[in-house]
Amino acid sequence: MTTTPVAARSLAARPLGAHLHAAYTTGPRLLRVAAVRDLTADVRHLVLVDPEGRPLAPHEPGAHVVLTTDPGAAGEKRNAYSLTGDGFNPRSYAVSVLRREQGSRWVHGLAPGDLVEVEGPRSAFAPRHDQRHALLVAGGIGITPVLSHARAVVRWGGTVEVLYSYRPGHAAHLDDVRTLAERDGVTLHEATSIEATAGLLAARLADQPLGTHAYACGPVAMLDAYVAAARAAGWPAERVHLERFTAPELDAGVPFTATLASTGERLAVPPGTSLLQALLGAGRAVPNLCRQGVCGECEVPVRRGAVEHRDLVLPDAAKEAGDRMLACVSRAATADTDIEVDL
Amino acid sequence: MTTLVTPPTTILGLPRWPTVPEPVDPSAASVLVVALGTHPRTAEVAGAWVRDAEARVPTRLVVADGPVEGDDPAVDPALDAALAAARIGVRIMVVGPQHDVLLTLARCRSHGASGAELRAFVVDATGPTDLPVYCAHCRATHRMHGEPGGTARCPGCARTLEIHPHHSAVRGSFLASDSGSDSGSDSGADSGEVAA
Repeated sequence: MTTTPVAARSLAARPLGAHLHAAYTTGPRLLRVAAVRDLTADVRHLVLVDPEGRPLAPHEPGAHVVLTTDPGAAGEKRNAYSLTGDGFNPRSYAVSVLRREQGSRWVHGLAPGDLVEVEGPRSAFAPRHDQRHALLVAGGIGITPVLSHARAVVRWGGTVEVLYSYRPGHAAHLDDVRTLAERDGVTLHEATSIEATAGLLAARLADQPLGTHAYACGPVAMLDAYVAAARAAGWPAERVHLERFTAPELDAGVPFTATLASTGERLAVPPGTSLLQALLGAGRAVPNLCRQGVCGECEVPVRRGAVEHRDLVLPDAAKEAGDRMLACVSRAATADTDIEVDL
Repeated sequence: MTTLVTPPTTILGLPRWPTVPEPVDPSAASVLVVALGTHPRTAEVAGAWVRDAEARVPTRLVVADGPVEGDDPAVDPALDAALAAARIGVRIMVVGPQHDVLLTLARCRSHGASGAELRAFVVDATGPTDLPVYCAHCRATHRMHGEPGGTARCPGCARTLEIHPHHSAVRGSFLASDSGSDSGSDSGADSGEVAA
């Protein structure tokens, strides 16, 4: 499969950044699929390389890339996938993709030699640089950024505990984490049921030395259990980190209006329609990606109006300040009020 | 004419001490109380914290009433043992005179503790008192009597130092450098002033 529309689009206009070395390139560009491998019945591992063999941009552990799926087709989407490498001077990027909706099914159709439009890496789940020890918690396909963190800890000589919760037969990268756990300083705990996961979370969160930071990635229910267990074990919030790849269901919300500060134009945002959709409909090119309040791409500045923040990205202080919102999920706090956005 | 520029008063970079001892954090899973020195108020505050904490969570008290000195505070090895044994979820509550508390908080940080896990109360919060002061010239931390903005004589190099309103949480000490007030020939010349 060769993706001609994307090829024409990307190669025609590769911007020249301040840095000319290939390893600084993080804008959209084409990478070639070098290898594919099935890790489980529904998880496929992809290795991407630069078509001309150049080095790729290094990245923080836990970073992701954005793949353009179904390029040129009506279903074209941009999906974020965590990189599984440690990010140190990479010659290739590796992602492991769970087959779910259409975008990931397209990725599963890729074969060696195919070209894919890739943007990034981008870091949204980086380790804290003052961590003395890491507790990594993975649920299901959430193992991908956790593997990246664990590999980075091993590279830099730290200590790490990995807690991997999975369904038997569906555990991507289980062999990789078990191999890592043969090293000094790396401990692996496995759980294959909800009860076992809860028990391990409580036990491991209660027994971490001073200076530990905890990181988790997995389904919503597991992340909720993780946050609750950390709170019960007295963890300060600043030590508890997580990455969500799915967001909880949200209600349709109240109707409100949005005023564009630049033109004074007023947009109606009925229930079930997001501010992002209204802005895009009015011809405003607001960058966006996940459309479920997870990625932080569609943040818009707010000048006036009380906002009900429904995203999982903005820190509490930013939500209280009320000077920005994520247009994809957040809305006016009360019906029929007006939000003035600085666009 | 010499123009003296008074630096703007700032609280950034200075420790801020609570006026009354903070309560035990209700979200703590365990508490480590560290009582430093022999001031009667130290025993009083530490005792109140211990009574409050041990009613709810596992609580440990470390008493270090010996001297705490320099870059390497010669604290009771019991403190190091307690910090090594502490698990995330602990709140470390330190009480004593500023000099000892500041160096002990730095020691807690060197074990990995962060601000959210540390509480402190000092029995000498106002006025000149003994402080851990890092001399920029002999590059060592000494116990000196003074206050930020004031001067003190360095016991290491005998210079008259200005104690700057600049505290390092990592080192535990205030930064100090030659105040330029000595009658020596070099200090005035460096700053372009005419020596008296």
